[in-house]
Amino acid sequence: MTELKARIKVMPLHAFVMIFAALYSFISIFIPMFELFVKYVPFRTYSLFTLLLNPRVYTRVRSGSIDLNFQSFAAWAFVITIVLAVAALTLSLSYPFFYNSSKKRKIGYLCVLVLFVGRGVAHVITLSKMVSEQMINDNGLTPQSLYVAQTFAGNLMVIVLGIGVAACLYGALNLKMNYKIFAYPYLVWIVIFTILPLILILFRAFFKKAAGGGYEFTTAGFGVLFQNKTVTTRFYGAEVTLQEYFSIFLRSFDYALWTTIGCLLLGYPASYILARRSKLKRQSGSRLLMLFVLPMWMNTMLRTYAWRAFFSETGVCNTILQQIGLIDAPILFLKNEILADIITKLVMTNDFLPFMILPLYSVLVKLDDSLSEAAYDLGATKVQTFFKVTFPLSLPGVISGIQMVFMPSLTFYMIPDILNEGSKTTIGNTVQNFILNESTTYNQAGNVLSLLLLIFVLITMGILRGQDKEAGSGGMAL
Amino acid sequence: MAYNQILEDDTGSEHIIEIKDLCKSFDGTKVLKNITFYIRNNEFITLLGPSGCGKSTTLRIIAGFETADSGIVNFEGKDLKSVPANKRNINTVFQRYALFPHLNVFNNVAFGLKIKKVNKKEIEERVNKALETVGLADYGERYIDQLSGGQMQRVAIARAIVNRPRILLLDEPLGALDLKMRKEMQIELKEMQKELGITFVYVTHDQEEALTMSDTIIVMKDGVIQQIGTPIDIYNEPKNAYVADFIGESNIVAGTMKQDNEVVLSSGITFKCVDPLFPEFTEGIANLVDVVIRPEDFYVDEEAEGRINGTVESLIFKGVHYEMIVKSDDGIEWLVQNVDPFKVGSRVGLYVDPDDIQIMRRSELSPDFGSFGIKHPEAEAKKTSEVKETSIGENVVEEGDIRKDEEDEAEDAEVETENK
Repeated sequence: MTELKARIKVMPLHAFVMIFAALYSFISIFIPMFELFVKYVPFRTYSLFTLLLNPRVYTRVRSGSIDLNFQSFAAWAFVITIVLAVAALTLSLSYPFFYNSSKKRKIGYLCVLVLFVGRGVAHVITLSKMVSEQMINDNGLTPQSLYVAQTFAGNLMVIVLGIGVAACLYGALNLKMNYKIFAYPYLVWIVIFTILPLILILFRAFFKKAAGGGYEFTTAGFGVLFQNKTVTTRFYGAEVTLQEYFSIFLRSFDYALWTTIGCLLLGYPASYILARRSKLKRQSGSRLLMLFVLPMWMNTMLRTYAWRAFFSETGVCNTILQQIGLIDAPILFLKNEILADIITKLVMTNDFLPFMILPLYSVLVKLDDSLSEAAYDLGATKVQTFFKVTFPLSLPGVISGIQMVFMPSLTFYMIPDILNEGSKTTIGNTVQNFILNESTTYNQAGNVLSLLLLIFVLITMGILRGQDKEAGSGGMAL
Repeated sequence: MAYNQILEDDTGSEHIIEIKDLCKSFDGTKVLKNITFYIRNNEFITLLGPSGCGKSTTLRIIAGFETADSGIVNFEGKDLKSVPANKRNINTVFQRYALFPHLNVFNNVAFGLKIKKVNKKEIEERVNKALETVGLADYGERYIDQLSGGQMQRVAIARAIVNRPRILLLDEPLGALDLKMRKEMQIELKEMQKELGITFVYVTHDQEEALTMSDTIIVMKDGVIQQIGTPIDIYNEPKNAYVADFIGESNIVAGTMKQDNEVVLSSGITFKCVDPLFPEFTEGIANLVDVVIRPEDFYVDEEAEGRINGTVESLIFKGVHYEMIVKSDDGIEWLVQNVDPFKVGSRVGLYVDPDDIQIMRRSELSPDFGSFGIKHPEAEAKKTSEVKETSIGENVVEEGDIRKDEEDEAEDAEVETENK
């Protein structure tokens, strides 16, 4: 076992490329290609196993449902494809076993190469078999959709095949690769998913489609956002009249602020204790930490609904209170303004707690014990030691914790929405409403709002970052 | 001999710390076994031993970071047990300095004074003076990450001495410095100690460091004190094979003593020495002893009767002297240092001045520290028969001796018959 590990360690990069290619093709099997050939609304996803077990697939297309007998034309092709993929994957993974002799290694690579080519052929067969005339008639496919689907599937296949073949040739030729090459896909990722959307937001905040085609400059979005319209809302029991969107921003800010404070107050002691424990036991991770992080893996919406049920008229909370005789009639927790407000903030705190604990823990666990010992030695009490040494040194963790809690909770709208049944509007709601609105002006306002939020977040982060630098390095993010 | 009586000091100077029967164990492993010693006021005392011998634990107990399982630590006549570390007038210089990275040098040094709410003017005075003492007068504004290892070391010392402690504990403070820096700091530390008049308790595994700086050295092994003494005592008159081996380079061989001032090495050569028979030895019988001869004490000359005759096996130039390994005719390899080289393969005779021969009692430890290059003659026999009644530990010197004496007598008889 250890020998295997050691061998995997010395595995050159091209082996990893092979594994990646094989894994990729393995996964791509599970996205049934059939779905590409019908104008499909993704209500259901099919895996290979459902296709094999129950070949009669009913697919709902926008108009009515279509009954397709899958077995008759494609299932076997899928089987071949998957067998080949698994074989290729196995071979790639078993690379260490034919690592020693270059002759064996070359044979191994050739095998993988053959398997990849075989897989490509299988794809081609699948494609040609699937696009039968009868199928086109049955599914009412247009030449365009067929073209798109074919191109997509074809391109996908070519990519997978290309990577596989390149990796195999590469391995067979015994070339060496620079690690840098693995950064490029990530660069592409950043450009596509981070920079492009930002540019789009910026563009759409200031430009709209002109009537005669093309785009024209407009500030209508700002007009909507800063229109001179006041609303009266209640904050902490008091009625306040404010500009409409400013009041919404204020409410979001209120939620975010209290969530952050709550997370800090609960998370700091928790991570402090966790860090102490793991230092005492001389292990890095602890099961206790996992307990704190565990809720993160559960769906937030599910948990929020559970909380709503918990505080509802016939919920657990009311039942218990009534059973022990503290109250006669159930309390309407979520109908009471102040209680609902507090509960919302508590639930949000509960939701964001792991994001505070993790960075704090990672900083606290790295703190040298001898520092607090030194402070103690110099005459400080335990409390003084904490405030003069431990806390200042854990500031980077506090700051990245705040960044990870405050920023997302500012635009978070699911919990307030569910708990207050939509009676409290937050920035998140507003952006959603704007974007879903039919009117272009409102769409634009949504973009403007996103832009303003981004600027706000960047400013806050800038301030926090300055703090972070002063406090020394060690923070987790940014 | 018995260390529990050592508290009655003959010099009459004040004992700032008295430690008695200190025991400590971590997870069931005994780290300290009945440690008993005292520290005189204003002395530079070194706890010397390999890592894991319990020297750091002793220091941490004095500092207050650990509590002993049993035993007494008296500080100026008062039991320290109920005094927490932050209330003790003792400061520590940590192994990895433990300077506060979020404070600059000035605030690091001022930390203790600020905690004690000393007024600002005095803080400034005292901190500047402490920084001057360690030679970092203009470094107050710097941050810790802008300092070199040696400077950090000085800041750590300044941070400790600024509080005017009665005792300064130093836990291998020079471990992270390079050789040249370490030598410099050794001298500086010694001077600082004299100048400040503070008792220094120094922990190290470096015997040279200990010899250079200390007034008193305590040699420890596996949680037991092996010897307490001045550097000269420890070097010239090691109490047992372990100490002889640990401090400096030495040739340790088995020998026998029949009468005062005469020792017979295992190869049968008789040397004059200055040690009388140990009181428990009987005159006329070949009492087993360990003989220590430092490599620099040998005279190298031609072969002759009454000398250790052998062949030069290797010759290394060491700067001041040459280091040779001479294999004597009975197979023992001797480490010899001499200013004149002798060719490899040439025959030489070694002899020693009587007062350069150190005689030690045979102890449990002896088999582990045989003559240079080869094992002690008893080592192999010990291992095969595995007659280890008690583990090395429980005050080796005392109990080992008593038991040894009985064994010695039995062995002596054997030797006698063999001789006949």
